[in-house]
Amino acid sequence: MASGDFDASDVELLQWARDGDRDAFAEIYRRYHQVVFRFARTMSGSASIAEDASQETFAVLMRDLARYEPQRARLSTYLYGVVRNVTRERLRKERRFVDLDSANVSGEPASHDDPGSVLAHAQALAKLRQVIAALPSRYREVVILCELHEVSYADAAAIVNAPVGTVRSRLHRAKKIMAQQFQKPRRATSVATAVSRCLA
Amino acid sequence: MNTDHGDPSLHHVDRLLEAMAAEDARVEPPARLQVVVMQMWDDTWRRRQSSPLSDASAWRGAWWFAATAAAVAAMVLSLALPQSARPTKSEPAHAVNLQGGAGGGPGEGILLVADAALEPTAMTVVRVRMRASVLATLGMRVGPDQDDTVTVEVLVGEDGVARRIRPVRPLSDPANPTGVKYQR
Repeated sequence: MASGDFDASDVELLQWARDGDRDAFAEIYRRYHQVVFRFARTMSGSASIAEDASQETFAVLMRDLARYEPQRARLSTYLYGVVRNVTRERLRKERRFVDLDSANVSGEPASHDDPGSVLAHAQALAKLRQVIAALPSRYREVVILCELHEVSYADAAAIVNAPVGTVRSRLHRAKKIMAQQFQKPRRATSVATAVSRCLA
Repeated sequence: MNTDHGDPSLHHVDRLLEAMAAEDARVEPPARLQVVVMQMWDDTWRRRQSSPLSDASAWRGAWWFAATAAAVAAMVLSLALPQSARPTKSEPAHAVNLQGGAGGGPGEGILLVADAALEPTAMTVVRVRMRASVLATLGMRVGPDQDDTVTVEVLVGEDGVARRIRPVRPLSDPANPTGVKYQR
């Protein structure tokens, strides 16, 4: 790949990588490693599994460079499909579904409002992560794809190998489940409530 | 974000999902991941360069070449056998074993065309698989590998005429280097 070809299309990069161009493959990695890693991380609830799954995903791409057909699916769709399969396989082997590591639960506050609301927001997000992690994988994957990664229904359908209508219904069902989880009565002595009382 | 409902509880979930997406967008994979992946790339290409046939397309090319060569050899073999010399079930062909059949030199195997074999000409060895029963009609009994087939080498001259045929020597049987038993 010539220097300054960072605006090359995925198809061009793939062609160059197929011919052994290291820089072209590095650019493909640069473009897609974040979405691959984030998908695997949210899907598995584990940064270490996500790291392994990302590594395996790019190994599969390396192996299948000659067989990949750009006219059949975009590279992003292909990579989502691969990382989905790799992550599911890892989870099936390890039987590990709701093991959120600490990095998942913590996060920077979204705003700098009063500490009580910031903490409540962080708690809500932590709970959302737990709820997503507890969803059946067929629901979890469509939530991650369509809601968190903003993948279109059509692309999500191609990734999970299901009709678009199925993707829509799974997403709706998943949101219903999540809403039900949030409607459950909370503990009266939640941390956010306690902090709000202290600051009042 | 796909918001296609008016349910307030679902709206709350949507807002949380938006916030989670924004938070996740800041997540960066560890830097060592890129190092590992590119190391895999380097290893893969080093292996491919040291072994050209490890590439899938190269294997496909080799397979097509072997298949074409086998087809050509089979055609040449069938044309090289005169109709009168073709064996019947009751009377096997009298093939000529030049050097007792166990030698490793260029003269070993079954002589198919006597006159042509004596002429000095450039030869090509074509390796093909054929039915053991077909080989038996030439007077060679070889234990089949699988699917009742044996691997043989056919010596083909520049004129396309097959001169000799011999089974491929099995490496796993040092006691019987050729694996051939000739009919009397």
